[in-house]
Amino acid sequence: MKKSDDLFDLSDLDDETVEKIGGKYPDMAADEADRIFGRTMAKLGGISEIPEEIGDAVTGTEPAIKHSIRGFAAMAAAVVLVIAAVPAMFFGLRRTPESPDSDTVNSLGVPSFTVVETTDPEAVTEIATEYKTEAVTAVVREDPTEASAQTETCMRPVPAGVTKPTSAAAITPKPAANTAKPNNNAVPKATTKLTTATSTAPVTTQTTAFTTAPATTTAYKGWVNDCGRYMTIKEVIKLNGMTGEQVNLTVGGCSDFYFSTDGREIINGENVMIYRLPIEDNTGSHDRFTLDLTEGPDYNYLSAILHDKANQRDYTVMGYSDAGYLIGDDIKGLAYEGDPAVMTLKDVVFLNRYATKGGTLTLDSLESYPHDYATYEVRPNSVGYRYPVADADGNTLRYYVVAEFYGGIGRGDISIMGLIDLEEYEYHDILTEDLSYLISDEEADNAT
Amino acid sequence: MADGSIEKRCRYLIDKFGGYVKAIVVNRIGGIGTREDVEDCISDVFAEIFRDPKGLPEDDAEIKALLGTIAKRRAIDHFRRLTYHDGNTDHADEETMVRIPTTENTEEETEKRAMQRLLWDSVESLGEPDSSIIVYQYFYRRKAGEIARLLSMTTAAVNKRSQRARQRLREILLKQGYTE
Repeated sequence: MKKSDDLFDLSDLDDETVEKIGGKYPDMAADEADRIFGRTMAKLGGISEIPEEIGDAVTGTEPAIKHSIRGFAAMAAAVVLVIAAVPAMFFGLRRTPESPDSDTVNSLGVPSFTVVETTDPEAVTEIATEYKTEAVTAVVREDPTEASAQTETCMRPVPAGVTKPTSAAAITPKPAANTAKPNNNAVPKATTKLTTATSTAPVTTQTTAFTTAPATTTAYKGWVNDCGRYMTIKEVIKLNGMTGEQVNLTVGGCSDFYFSTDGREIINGENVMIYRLPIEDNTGSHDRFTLDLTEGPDYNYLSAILHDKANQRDYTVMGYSDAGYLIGDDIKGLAYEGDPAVMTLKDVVFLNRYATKGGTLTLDSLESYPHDYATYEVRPNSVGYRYPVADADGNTLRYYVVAEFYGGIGRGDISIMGLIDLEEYEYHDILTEDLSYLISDEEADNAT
Repeated sequence: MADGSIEKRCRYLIDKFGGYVKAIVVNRIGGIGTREDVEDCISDVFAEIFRDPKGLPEDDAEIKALLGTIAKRRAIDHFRRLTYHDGNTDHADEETMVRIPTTENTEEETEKRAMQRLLWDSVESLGEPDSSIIVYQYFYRRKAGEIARLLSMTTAAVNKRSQRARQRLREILLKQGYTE
């Protein structure tokens, strides 16, 4: 009997299964394909990269010149040493008497020519010249012209159209130019904006949405549904700046009672309900909604996955209602990138800057909403909440952080919610801890 | 030296069949080699098929079959090389040699294949994205973070879904008589 521990050993599978995996679950990213292509071409003897030009005078010959110069220098040095060694040896032998007299040897045993006993100036000069001339001649044997000529003969023929080096400076190897390509994928500075849609709903029910662009991802985030009405696909599409042709909607995590679970194409402009927020009944029953991870004890979540065809990415929009829904004044929600991606701590901090500092929250309006509700004044010290989200075993997985903006212009309150995933971020109590370092000064200024 | 047309064709084949070749290679050496080893082996396969570019079949199906055959061979070569360098050489080399059809081996092999088939059917029955998560995690040996990026999910969600998917797979196997 096999143990089920072997269950996940998905190696050495049969050919049929492997073929299925290769076809259905291909794992070949573009960068990986690039690397494999490069390796393959290299193995085929191809040139995968064209050498970049260095300098403008001697192009493509630097390695050859460098090599020739080094080779010639080494040979020349060897020749000089050998030639110098011959007279030096002769010089040494001449300086060493067969039986040095103690009077002609200094304390180091080296014959001292100062001991030549003569007072004739000519004799002294002759002796000195006899030795010095040989030494000097040996050292200064080659002139630069000869060396230069030899250098040229050692060099690889210069290709046509390339300027020959005419001086030592010209053949001096230049430092390699920085061939590193500019990083075109540099992450732009995070930009953040908030987007709100106002609704025609009663005064106490407003719709808020935000889009927040994390530094490394495309932003498709955010909405807060209004109370008592549905948010339509059209609205979400517009909110995310997409057109109907770009979006393929798959409704997920929702009850069949309300929605079809089949994916469907959305026609541009079609006013289709994504979903309706669940109505919390007083018995606490949540059996109409089965969405994983996001079903809490006091509220329910629903989600719809928007598939961005252009970018081949999925975005999940979510909403939830809590007990406040029952009294019709507190509906919160947001959309996440991914399924179910989380709002970053930075995003949450950003949003809560509004709550704690106050300011004007300027939000893009939607065509379907009155524009005069696009700007909200946020009073300082608005309230922030956090809500634990637990899994089925009661373990806290996440915290939702809600910034509530009181005092909209003649309207009701706005709630914007962020999610902190404890599995990715160590939880910070943003209500008491200064996390302003998470956003730039510019962003903070914009926020306040 | 490869000319432009060969480069284009090579790129086309890598884009089209790279995933298929990788699956074969990973199946053999994914557990013992690094990612570089896998890529090296895959590039060996494509390099080999272009050694004689004139002999390349025109039909994609034939090319795929050819690539599959070469991939298996090259994967075995790399397996031998890797196990040799790792000091794990099994002289019986049961992974690469034709096995002696003893009764015991046949029984084990049959059971293994049956379990793999059951496992695979179960993985497919999980539905997306759980099927993908299990395949990427346990076949391609991708990390949760990488899978999260591939599937546009969070690492936490991948881990959670993986955990639940494994639990479901375990239950399926238990029903089929496999024990913990």
